[in-house]
Amino acid sequence: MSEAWQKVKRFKIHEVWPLLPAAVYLVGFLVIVGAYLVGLSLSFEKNGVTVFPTLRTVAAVVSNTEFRHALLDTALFVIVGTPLELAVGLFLALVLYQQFRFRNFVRSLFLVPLAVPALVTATLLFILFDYPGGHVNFLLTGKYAFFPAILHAPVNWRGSEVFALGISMIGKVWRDMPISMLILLSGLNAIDPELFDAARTMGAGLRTRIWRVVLPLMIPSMSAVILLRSIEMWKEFIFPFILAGKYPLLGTLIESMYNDWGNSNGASAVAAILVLCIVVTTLLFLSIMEFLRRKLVRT
Amino acid sequence: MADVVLKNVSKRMGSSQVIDGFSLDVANGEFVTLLGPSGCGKTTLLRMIAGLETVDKGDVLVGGKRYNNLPVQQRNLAMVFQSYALFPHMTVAQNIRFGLSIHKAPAETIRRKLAWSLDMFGLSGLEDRLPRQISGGQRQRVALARALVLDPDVLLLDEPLSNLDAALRDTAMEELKRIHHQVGTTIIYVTHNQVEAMTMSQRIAVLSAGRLEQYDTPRAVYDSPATRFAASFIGSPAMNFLNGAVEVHGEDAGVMTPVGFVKLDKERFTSAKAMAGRSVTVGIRPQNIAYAEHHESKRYSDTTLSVSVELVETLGDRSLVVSRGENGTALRFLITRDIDIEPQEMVEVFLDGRRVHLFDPQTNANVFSF
Repeated sequence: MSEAWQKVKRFKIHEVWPLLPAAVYLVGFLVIVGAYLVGLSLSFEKNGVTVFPTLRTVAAVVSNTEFRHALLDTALFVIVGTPLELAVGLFLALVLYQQFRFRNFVRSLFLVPLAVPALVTATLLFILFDYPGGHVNFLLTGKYAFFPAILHAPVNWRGSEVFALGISMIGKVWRDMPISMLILLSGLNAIDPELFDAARTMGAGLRTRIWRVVLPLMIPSMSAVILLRSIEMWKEFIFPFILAGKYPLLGTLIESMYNDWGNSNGASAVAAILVLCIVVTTLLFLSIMEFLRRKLVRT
Repeated sequence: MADVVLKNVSKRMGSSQVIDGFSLDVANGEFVTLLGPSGCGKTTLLRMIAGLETVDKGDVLVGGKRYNNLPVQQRNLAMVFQSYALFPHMTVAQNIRFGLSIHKAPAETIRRKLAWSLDMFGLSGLEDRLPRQISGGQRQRVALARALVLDPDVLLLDEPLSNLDAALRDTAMEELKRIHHQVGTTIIYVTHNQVEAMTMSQRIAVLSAGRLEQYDTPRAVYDSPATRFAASFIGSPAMNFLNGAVEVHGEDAGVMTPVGFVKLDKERFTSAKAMAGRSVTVGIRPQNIAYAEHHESKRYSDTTLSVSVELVETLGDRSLVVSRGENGTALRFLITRDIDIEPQEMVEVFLDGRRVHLFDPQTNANVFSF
């Protein structure tokens, strides 16, 4: 009691001043929006009458086959897309870590995707994979002289679930690879190069050096990439919105529920479940990384 | 264990010739130091032996085997880096076991060697600590232990003591000597610190700008420096240099310098007489100049000079006197702490003629060494 009182007495307003904007921001976006979201999810509307609190909306959403399908697709999108982005980023980081001519130029070249608006990238992919007259179809059916015909008839890429979501994922990974590349490159640059020399003098070949020196030391930066990128993958909207209209992910499902069906309670419930998914998988990823770190360190 | 032979080794980096026709032979079990200022190529040379740098020209032979194109992993050499390069994510024990586990040593061997090295380097109780949780001196010992458990043919040490404070460095030097004595591995040690080189090594290779200036025992390098560079780099305080020409005055041969005629000892009379008139650079260590009043018995070969004291620097047990000869040429000498000399005072000093070195002003080589 007296201790708490001491704390209150020591409290000085000027010490928390700088924190105030952040606090307002947190309250505004987390608490108010979060509460509103939960409130909408826990309301059910029928014949103009709103019932609150109830799990009927959540139950309706969860039992909806389209939602279940979207959840599964989104989970696959995250599970395949995040490691893909990590792998591409790691590969590029390892390449750019080497000393070669025009290295800085090549590095800036790899930053270009970030400068292109996602909508433009998505639209370009839309045009490339159009049916029946997209460039990819023209290419594969032998319409261009420099490439042999592989297919007899054009493929409706965006009409196939695997391709539509696959193209969305490729677009997403292409656009965001500079972020993971830069994070991993800075992680790589933070490692003392003498560690690699030391490992070599102790008889370590390239594989041993990568597995037992580089990767364990890269775990912090790889965790950061997985953490940041998996959240982005869960939330992804623009690529599937443009390229996979028929096969919604959770992000696009929210939009269609709200705009096409006018169901703001359902949309909120999907959004709340999406947030829950992010929290759960983030914790899961972190514990896997911690496990790996312990595993790789053992000699 | 093995001997190391470098034959006419050269290395270019960009536009600069880092190592230029360098030859060296290190006997089996010998402790050799590569000594030189920073940028003289000594670390590059060590990395070339380790295989971390390519060899442009010449041969690197270890145990009679040509190592030039042998991958680093296949050379049985161990290296201790200036930064120690301990794996920060591994404990002390894991760091020491790393190399052994790569070589697929049996578990029993690994356990035995780990125990031996922890005991040998006084690291018992620190097995499970991470490198960041131990002191600098302990890290240095882990780096040594990690290198030595592999039973390397040659142990390469790159300024391993430069990150330690002075007191710790003295202990570490004794440690290293003891370890070399016990293990008997061939050691090639790189440093810019002449005290480390003098204290520990059996032979010192003095390097300057990628070239070998002198390769001899510490005592020989100190007593008869082969080049002006070796003379100036070894010994503290630094040697005095005076320009002059060889002259013979009756029974005495010597050099006429701006501060006066500096006599040489009798043993060198004949050879000095043969080069009368030749211009030379005289080198004499501050230790070989005696304060006359303190130096009761003047030897025949001593030269007496009159100098004016400019300043006196206290070194602790002794003081360094910076003085100037008649026409302003600087001359440094040492006095014991009980002597009181004031700046501006005129004093007489004796130059020990037996310890006067002569260098060729063009080639910088010692004119008496062949």
